[in-house]
Amino acid sequence: MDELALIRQAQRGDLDAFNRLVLAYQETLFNAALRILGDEDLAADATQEAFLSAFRALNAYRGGSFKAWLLRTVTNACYDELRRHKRRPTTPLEPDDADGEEIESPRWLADPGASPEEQLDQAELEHAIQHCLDALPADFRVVVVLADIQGLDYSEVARAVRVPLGTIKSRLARARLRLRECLQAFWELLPTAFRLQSEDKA
Amino acid sequence: MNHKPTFRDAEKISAYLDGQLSEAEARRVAARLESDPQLAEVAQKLRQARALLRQTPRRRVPRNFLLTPKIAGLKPPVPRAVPVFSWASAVTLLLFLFTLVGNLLGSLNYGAAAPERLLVAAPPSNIGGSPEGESPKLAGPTLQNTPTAEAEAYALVGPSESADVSAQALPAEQTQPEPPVNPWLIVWPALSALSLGIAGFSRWLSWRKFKKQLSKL
Repeated sequence: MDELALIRQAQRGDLDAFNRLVLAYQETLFNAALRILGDEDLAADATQEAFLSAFRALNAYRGGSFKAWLLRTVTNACYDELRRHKRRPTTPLEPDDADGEEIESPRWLADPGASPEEQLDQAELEHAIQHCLDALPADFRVVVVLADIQGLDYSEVARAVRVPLGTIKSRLARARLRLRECLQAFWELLPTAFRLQSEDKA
Repeated sequence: MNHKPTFRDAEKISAYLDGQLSEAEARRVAARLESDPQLAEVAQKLRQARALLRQTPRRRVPRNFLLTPKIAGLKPPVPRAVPVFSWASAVTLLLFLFTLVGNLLGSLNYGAAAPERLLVAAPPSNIGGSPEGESPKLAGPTLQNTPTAEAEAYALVGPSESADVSAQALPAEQTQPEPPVNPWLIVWPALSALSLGIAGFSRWLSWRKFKKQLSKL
């Protein structure tokens, strides 16, 4: 069944149809929340909250990209989480083992299709990116996550964070420059494959 | 002459990389990037940041985020008939109260009018003892206007007992039969109860259907 038909059914209160949409988008929403919040538990809470809000406000959806609409709800949920947990310390990205040592390549990072070397490389890249994202102010982080990681266009990001298009352009440029500066520290540590890819794409 | 790139330049280049500039603006930025190595360096940094972010590994979800009816706070849908019958019930109840109040007021009016008639009807009993010429005009029309209750009383007691008419008139009026109960006083509550019953039954049917659907999930 196509997405629009599922949305229409869900708008009539069909929870089963909505849950099929949840399965299709839960990874997208969870990853967006994870990059914004930098904590898996908080990201899971925000994702659940976002789907609940989306179900309740589904009649407000008037077409357009459903992914962008859902990302808007998860952005709101992330802002709520950030406000709620402002003073609460968060769980580090790399969990500690029983001896308090940092586990370098946690099990939940593993991509079952990747070789151990690739998994390690991915973990290093993720660590570098998340570290630099966390160093950004929340408003900049949200914009860069939605635009560069989730691939929304400027107008969709502007609607999601409710700021003018010009502000999005400005925040995105500043966030990219700061991230590049921060990633510079990791540059030599980053796996060669990623460096080459980014050079190629550049 | 090239100058040190400003943040405004970086902002333009960033939008240029995303294809967010107008055609004319994009041409201008492209030309400047060709001729200005400092700007080209900024563009390179922005591209690298963007390219790395696009390679951010995706995490698998730690669990499913499916909504249960309890989480979603779903309630059984209200059948269309329920509001109709609920309103019908309320309306009939109001009509019942209206009828009841109307009846009460009617009986009060009747009760208030009775002594007046008695007072007016009293002169015939005192005809013998009263001085002649005492308001005969008053007695005449009053008797004519005497309500049917007295007349009926006469008819009921019959001519043999009508000798002491004035003496009998009072008890006859006091013991007159109760007026028949207004039938609407029974119909309205019955309709109200029926409407309420139908509304409740429809809701119960809907709730039972909803529970069955939930058990399938």
